[in-house]
Amino acid sequence: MAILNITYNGLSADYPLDMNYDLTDADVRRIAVEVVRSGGVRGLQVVNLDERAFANYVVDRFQGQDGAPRIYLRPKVPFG
Amino acid sequence: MADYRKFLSKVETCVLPYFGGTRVDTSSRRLRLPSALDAPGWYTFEIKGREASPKGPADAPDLSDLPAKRGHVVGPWLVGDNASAREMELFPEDEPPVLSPCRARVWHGGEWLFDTLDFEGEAEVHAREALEDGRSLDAVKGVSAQLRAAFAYALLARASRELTIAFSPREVRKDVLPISQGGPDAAARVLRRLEHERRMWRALHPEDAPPRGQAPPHRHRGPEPTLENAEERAESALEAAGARLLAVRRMGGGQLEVGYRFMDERFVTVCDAITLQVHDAGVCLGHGAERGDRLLTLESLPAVIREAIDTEVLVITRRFA
Repeated sequence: MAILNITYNGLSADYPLDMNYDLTDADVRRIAVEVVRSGGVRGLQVVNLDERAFANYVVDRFQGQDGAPRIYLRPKVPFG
Repeated sequence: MADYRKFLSKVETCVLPYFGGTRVDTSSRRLRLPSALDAPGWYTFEIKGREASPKGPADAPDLSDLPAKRGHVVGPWLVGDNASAREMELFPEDEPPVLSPCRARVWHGGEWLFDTLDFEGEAEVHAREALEDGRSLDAVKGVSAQLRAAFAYALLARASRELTIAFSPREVRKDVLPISQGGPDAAARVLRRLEHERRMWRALHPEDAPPRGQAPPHRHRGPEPTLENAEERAESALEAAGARLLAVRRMGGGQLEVGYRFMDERFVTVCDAITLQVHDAGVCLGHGAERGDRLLTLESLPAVIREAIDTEVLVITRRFA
């Protein structure tokens, strides 16, 4: 079980991913669009979310403290 | 069948290091404290279930079973391979001489504990003389890459005091080699460049009002967000992203100032106490319409900081008091 953490519009929420295989970045973005549209991520529902809403988002992957994979989908931000 | 209540009511006593926040680590688990303690140090704790109650200060136990890290001392840092500089915890009262070869031990939570000083050779002695005389390392022979990096950080630390320009090793790691070759002038140039970047950032970010609060997302687990449980939620958010909470302070306008350690560095971020939306990341993240802080939350910010460190563009604008 992996956790997908989506940050959108200054809010973050977790979505448990019941997947036991590696997801590509494109898979992660596509899943995020679907679950945000459908209300699968509580508090982050956007029914008319653009299909490309997460196109420029960054996908980061970490191992959580409990050993479970954590995937972060977050906006790309400039430095400096 | 075993009665699990016996296990839950079992009370143990053990000596553990406390580094800040409301957690301590044993070799096998993380324990919660009833509240933050006054100062870091070794303490005796009474452990029941996942709760640890402090009973008083204690002497450090033998650390020789823990993994060792070697390097050279510069102030609180152990400078190791690849010009890494990691802050050591629970330093002795007598500060070790700068550039001394040193050994640290890695605690179960990942913190590096000062252990002991190792024997030094001629290279350390000559490098220390060059530091005291304000020279570069060019004329000193047999200098290892670790010692060269430590020398550069020591020059930066001295220039930082003279110029009153703070720096963190992660901000200047790419400059270590030219500083060791260029001496104090090169160190001063690097710090002035850093200060220039921060001034530009401040000029572009006048103190503006925090954004209007949004409704926070409902949680899958745990209580709904309130001001009262803000610290616990901040700690969970940081912990999930691989950071460790050090301190929290409530601010006006429903904001929270959060101090934490991430990738061997300390950061201070101001965020909304309910949503954890970042108001001021404490690192340079664009400006004006391009400003990135407010697109993020305390949950996603550590990943951004990791990117800044990995691409060597980190500039810190808020510092730990």
